Amino acid sequence: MSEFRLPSGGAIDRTKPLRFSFDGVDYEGFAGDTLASALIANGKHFVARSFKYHRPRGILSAGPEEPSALITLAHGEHEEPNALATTTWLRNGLTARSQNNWPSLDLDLMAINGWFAPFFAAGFYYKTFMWPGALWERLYEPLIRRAAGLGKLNAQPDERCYDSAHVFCDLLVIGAGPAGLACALAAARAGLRVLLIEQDRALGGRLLSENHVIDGAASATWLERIEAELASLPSVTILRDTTLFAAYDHGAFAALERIEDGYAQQRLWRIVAKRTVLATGAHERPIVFGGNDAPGVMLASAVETYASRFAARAGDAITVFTTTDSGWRAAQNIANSGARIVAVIDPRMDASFDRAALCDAMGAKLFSGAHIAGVRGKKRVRAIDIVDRSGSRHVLRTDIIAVSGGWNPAIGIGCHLGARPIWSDAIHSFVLPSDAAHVSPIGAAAGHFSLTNALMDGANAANLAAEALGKTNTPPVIFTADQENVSVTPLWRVKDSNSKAFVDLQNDVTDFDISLAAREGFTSVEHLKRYTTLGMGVDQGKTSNVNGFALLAEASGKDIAEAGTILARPPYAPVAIGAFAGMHRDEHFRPTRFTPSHEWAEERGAVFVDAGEWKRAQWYPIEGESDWLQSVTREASAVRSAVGICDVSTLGKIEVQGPDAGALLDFVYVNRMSNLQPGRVRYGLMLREDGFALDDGSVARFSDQHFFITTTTANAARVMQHLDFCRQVLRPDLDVSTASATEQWAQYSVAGPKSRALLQRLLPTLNISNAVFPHMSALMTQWRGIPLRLYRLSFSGELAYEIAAPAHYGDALMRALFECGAEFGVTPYGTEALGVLRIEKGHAAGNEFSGQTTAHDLGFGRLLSLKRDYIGRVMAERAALTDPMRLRLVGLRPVDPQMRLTSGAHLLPIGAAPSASVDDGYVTSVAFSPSLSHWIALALVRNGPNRLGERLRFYDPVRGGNGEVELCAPVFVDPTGERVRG
Amino acid sequence: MRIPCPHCGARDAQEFAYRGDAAPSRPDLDSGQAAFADYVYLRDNPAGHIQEYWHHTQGCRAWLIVTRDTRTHAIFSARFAGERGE
Amino acid sequence: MVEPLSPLLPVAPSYSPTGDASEICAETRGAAIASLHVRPDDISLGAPLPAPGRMTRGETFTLISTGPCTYFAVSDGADPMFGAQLAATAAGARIADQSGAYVLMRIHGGQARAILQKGVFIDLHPDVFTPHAAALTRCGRISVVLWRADEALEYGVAVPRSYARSFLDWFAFACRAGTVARRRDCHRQRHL
Repeated sequence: MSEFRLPSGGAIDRTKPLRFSFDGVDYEGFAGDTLASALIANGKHFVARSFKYHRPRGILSAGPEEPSALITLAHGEHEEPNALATTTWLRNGLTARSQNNWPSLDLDLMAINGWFAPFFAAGFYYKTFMWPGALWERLYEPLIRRAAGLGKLNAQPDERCYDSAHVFCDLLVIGAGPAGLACALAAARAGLRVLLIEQDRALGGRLLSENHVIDGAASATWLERIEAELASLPSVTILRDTTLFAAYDHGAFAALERIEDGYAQQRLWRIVAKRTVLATGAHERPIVFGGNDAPGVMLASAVETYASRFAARAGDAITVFTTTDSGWRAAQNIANSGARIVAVIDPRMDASFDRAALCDAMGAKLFSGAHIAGVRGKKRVRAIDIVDRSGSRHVLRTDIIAVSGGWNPAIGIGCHLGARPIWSDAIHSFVLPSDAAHVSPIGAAAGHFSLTNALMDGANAANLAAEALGKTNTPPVIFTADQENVSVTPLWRVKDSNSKAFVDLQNDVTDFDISLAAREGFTSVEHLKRYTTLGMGVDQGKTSNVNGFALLAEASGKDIAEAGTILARPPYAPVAIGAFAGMHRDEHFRPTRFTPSHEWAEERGAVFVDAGEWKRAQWYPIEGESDWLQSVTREASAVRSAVGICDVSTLGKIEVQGPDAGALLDFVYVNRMSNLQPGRVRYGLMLREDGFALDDGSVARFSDQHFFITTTTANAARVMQHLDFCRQVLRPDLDVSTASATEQWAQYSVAGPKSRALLQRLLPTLNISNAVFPHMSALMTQWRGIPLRLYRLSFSGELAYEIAAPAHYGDALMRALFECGAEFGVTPYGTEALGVLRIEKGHAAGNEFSGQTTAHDLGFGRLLSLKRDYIGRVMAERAALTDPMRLRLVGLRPVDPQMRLTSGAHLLPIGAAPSASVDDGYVTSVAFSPSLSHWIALALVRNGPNRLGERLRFYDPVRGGNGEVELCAPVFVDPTGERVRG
Repeated sequence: MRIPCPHCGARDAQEFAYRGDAAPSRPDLDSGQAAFADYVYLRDNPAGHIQEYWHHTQGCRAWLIVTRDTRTHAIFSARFAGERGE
Repeated sequence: MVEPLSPLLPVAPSYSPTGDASEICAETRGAAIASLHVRPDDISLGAPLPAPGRMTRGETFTLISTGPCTYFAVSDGADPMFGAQLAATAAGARIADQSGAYVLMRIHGGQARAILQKGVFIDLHPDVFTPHAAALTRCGRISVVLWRADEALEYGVAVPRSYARSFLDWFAFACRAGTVARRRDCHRQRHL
């Protein structure tokens, strides 16, 4: 067994040895160890280099407040930087390394920074690297970043799997120390649904390292009993190894669970609680004295925890330096565990108990009214300089200094919604104000440090919660415990130190930095934090803030209560971004939507494109085609010459029903819909209330009270929400209902001169002759027993229809259409050919509906009804929105027919030097026109429609496009529209 | 953040879409451009109570008017926007 | 008559984390669905209108509350003309057939509630989400209609058809993520 492992005691399992490696050296620990306790049991204290000065650092604490022992953990290829050795459970094969050193921890050449300490004092980078500015990015910042910092990401993807879950409860108890346990149990007995969250793997808090008597039994026995009862109650959920890291509004919280051997390694819990109790305990406070950062300087409670819970002796000769009664209790406990205490140094002159007798019992020297003025040893404490009550110095050989400077309630979570902590003279630290309503602190988190008070607080909080939630007549639960002394006399710093005294170990902030900041006027705690970096980083000042603010108060002549403290914000502890993403990353980043005939399209070899969440067939290459343009040109030509079919199921579709359906549509479209005849279809344009174009689509009327409208794929959800708003909020007087039918109808565009023949084959008994079913008609019918809808409308400019079946029959309809179309040479076409066809016809689509265009800009000015109110009506009439000099839609053709056009290119006067000041507009959509055999484009051009025939310079510096184009009408094919009516 | 939907009960804010200040009401057609410009663009920014539109997009699809304190995020009430109160 | 196609056909009609049919998310085929907008005082549908967050059982179909004055009618049979027939019997209601719009799933087994609760941010505690409770909410990132038909701790879910595959994928992930088998790069593949 390792040299510093105690032969007996502790909560480790000596029958389960675990191998691990640190900085390439193999060690052994036991199940139940943390990485820190295993390192200590192996005599390894020097585990880190500090942030700025690269000074050797050890393990300060035994919990989540750890500022120094930050290590990098290997997870396969990925490395997790800044993990805490003190909360990382040991497992077989764990591989960890130290960070922020080069080339090694032991020989760190960056420690040279320590020689330049004067330059690195508070605010150094605000002062030192001021000039010349150009050097900042190239030289200074990389230099500083290499020299200073915490762990680094190795840029490998994080392969860990993150789960997420939700949970609801009546009472959320954060922390399972004595107060939390008492509260959870009393609340559960009263019939509340209780969620108990503990960051440790074991319940018990301080009871895991201390021995007390509760209800007449040893505290360990009491703990077992409580745990068993909680486990037996179905209304109690216990989450261990779980850190509650954020409080949000209205009773919502978030917590992160670490899972040892799961498919997922972490789980993010989103919690909703009716009441919440903060039983997070308190963090012990270090004392600021020269050399207090050397490996071997630890919190007294940590030395105690390592000895009693983990059976790990911190050293051979332990000195306790305490200004608290709890430090004395720790000393006794350490001694009882089998470690040797050589001295207890207590700056206080007196205490309420016999300190000399305690020291005699431990075989330790007592230094009353004394303090530590210096530490000898750089990579490990070797000896200390003690100044006694008379002022004379002593040198004492010791390898561990166990420090106890007081206790700070762990109230971070209580500040997340803005409650500002207040100073308590009783405990010499900050506590939550009584109006921090979203959490009720109890026990040590409330500054009530004795065990009896903690248990009492727990039971009281449970009773209050039960009463508030209507559970009355519950028997009171009372726990009793032994009495203990909890007095503290703070010693904020040792003034006669002969070397650097650190306030914030994580950020290398010294007492000198704080007095410097105060001298330079940074006397508010928030300024102090930003100027010195006090309390920043991974630990957010859990062990440093209060000391720092006390020193600021002293340096600036303020009262500490007046100086105040900062507001902690979420997260309370670092959380990987992956935990928030959960499964939603990479290909699962968002859900994927498939159209009803997706498999059919796959069978046809479609290439798919992401359109929002949808997968849409972009084109269907056939054998011998190597280039997308080849496929797309073939598809578009097939529509112009024969017939093609395109899946348009992704269009937004909405059923509008009721006596006032027409009136609602009149209110949302610029053109009137209420006078549309049943069986007819009309194009519709919607504006936003600010007068800009929102969306367009078709409106079909099936009966007096039944309309059916379509929206663009991209705007489906937005238009539905818009209709909800218009119907529910602006026009509640209308008797009309809307129902989304996007998912219900599989819809296919059947376009081309042979489309009627194809459909006639599918529906032989239906009369769809031009006379009976002309352009812009709609009907409902049935096909093999299922409902079918047929619309005659055209986006391509050809004779065309859209045919729709309920989505679960979409695949069958698609296959039937292709069977019927075989003899007509039917061709499937994708979104690219769809785009080519609409650009040839000059139809505005998503690229033109950019949110910056008006009806006038897009050539729809004539649609604007002047007789009635509708959304956007008044604002669309503003002079600036109807100004002919605006960028308006035109067509473009290249002067050189070989020239390729690209969208996004700008249009400039010929001969002018390229500059935004002479910009005449830009290209929105381009296509290679199979009908014209050259590239064509739609563009928004200043006063465009009045400049047809003019030439402009086509300028695309990004892709190297440069040439001349001629402005033309945007309709390139069949300008008189004969084909659609054929 | 939890929004107490009058139809569905308290739900996480992620189910909702936010629209903004519910105080301006849409002017009549003949009120003129200035009135519409106020309606479309001008918003108060009170420190304290504000009424706001929220749409329960991933729930009952009702538009709500939620009364919230901008300083504390406390929510006092939520009602169907169609039932214009006060 | 044409056969309807399940959107889950290319992946799997169901997913069971254990391979055991007692733990499963499976498609319920052969039901018809319609959405209704009803003014409460002027309709008799053959089933009592459910209160918000509830469902009621009629003779041939179930009504589920989906919003103010809106309901889903879920029939036991798969009649393609369900919506039209309902409209004929319930004059005054605005009805849209949605049989193609949703895939009905049934989630059952001992872990049903725990797995569902991973994606659903409403309280599924059996005393809160009681028999005949129903809710429109999101599961993962997908809008769903969720209900508990009876005393059993199993759930009906209506998932928009285009999202059905993604829903089953989420379900499979949620099952796996609760298990102890360790596997790497779990996000790089389909979870099914």
